[in-house]
Amino acid sequence: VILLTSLRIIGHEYTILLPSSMTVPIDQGAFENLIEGNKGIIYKVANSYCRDKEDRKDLVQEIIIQLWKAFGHYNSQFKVSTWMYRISLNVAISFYRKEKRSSVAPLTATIIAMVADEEPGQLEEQVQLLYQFINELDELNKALMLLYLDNTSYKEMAEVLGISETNVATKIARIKDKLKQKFSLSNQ
Amino acid sequence: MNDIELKNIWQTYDRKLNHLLEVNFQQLKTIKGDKAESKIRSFIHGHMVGVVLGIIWILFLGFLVFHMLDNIYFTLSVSLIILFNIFAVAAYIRHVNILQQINIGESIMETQRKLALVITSDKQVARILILQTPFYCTFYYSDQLVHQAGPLFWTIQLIVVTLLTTLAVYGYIKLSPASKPTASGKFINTLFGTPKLQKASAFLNEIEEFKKEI
Repeated sequence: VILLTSLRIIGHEYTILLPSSMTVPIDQGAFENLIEGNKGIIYKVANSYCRDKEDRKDLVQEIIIQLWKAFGHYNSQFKVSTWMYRISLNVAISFYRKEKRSSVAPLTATIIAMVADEEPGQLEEQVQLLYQFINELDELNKALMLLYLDNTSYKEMAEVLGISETNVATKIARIKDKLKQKFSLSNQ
Repeated sequence: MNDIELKNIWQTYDRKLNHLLEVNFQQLKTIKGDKAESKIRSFIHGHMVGVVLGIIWILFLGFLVFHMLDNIYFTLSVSLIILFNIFAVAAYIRHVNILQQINIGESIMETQRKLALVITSDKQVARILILQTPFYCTFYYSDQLVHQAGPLFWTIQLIVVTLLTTLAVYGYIKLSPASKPTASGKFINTLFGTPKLQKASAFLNEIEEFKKEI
C-alpha cells in the first residue's frame, strides 16, 4: 500500500511515495516540537559519551541528523523516548568509535545548549558524580545506565539494546552494586 | 544512597535541564535542509566510490592483459593484481549492502554489530590488498629482459622485490586483530589502521559477551 507524502524542503514542495506501513507524514513543526520536548535525552547521551566540548557539538548534530532522517519511519507503537534513545545511543556508540573528529557541516553554534551556567549546588555535584560513574562504564553498560536512571522499564531497555529482560536485570543489578560502592566511597 | 534516591537526583536534574536547555532552531533548520550528510551515509558513499574506481581499474587491467597475452610475466602479475582487486570490490559491495541494511532505529546490539563487522572487514580487505604490492614490480618482465639483463639489474630487482614482499607481509601481520601494539611501532600501527581494527574487533567481542546471560 502506497501513501503519498508531501514534504516541503527549503521552499520547494516534494511529493514522495512511501509504503504506508512505515510512514508518518514528515511535519517539520512536529519534528521541532519533538526535539524541544526531548532535548534532555540528546543532551544527556551526548554528555555521557563525549567529554570534549567540540566533539559533543558534533555528536549532537549527528544525532539530530539521524533523528530527522528516521522521523518519517517512526513507528508509533514505540514510545517517543524509547525511539529517541535507540537512535541517540546508536549514534553515540558509533560516533565514539571514531578516532578523528570531522564536522559534517560547518556549524558555528551547538544546537542544544545550556542558556545559563548556574553556581554548582548539591544537585550538580551529585549529578557530576553520576556522570563520572557513567563515564567509567563501557559503552553498552553506559547505555543501560542512562536508560535505568531515566526510569525505563526492563522490557523497554531490552528492546532498545536487543538483549533479553533477564539479561537486563542481571546487568542492572551489577551496575547498582558498583554504584552503591562508588557513592559510599564518595560519602566517606 | 540507594537507587531510588539516585533516580530522584536524575529526575530532578532532568526537570532542570528542560528549563536550562535551549534549542537553536536556526541551526536545526540548517540540518533539515539536507546540507549535512550523516556519517553512515558518507561511509556508504566512500565505499561506492571505491567500488566504481575498483571496477574501472579492473577493466583497465583486464584490457591490458587481453592485449598482452603473449607476455607470460605481465599476464601472470597483472592477473594476480586483478584477482586481489576483484576480492576488494566484492567485499566493498558486501559492505555497502550491510551498511544500507542498517536501520539506526534498530536495537543497539544489531546496529553496532553490523557497523563493527564492516569496519573489521574493511581492514581485512586492506590487509589482503597489501599482498599485491610485489606484483607491481614484476609485471614489466619479458623473455628478452630475462635472457639479456645483467647481474646488476637482477641484484637491484631482487632487493626491490624482497623489500616490497617484506613490507607487504609486515603490513599483513600488523593489520591482524591479534597484532599487539608496540610503543616503538606506534606510527606504523596508526599508518596501517591497526588500532581501529583492534577496537572494532574488541567491540564485536564485547557485543557477544554482553549478549551472554551470565
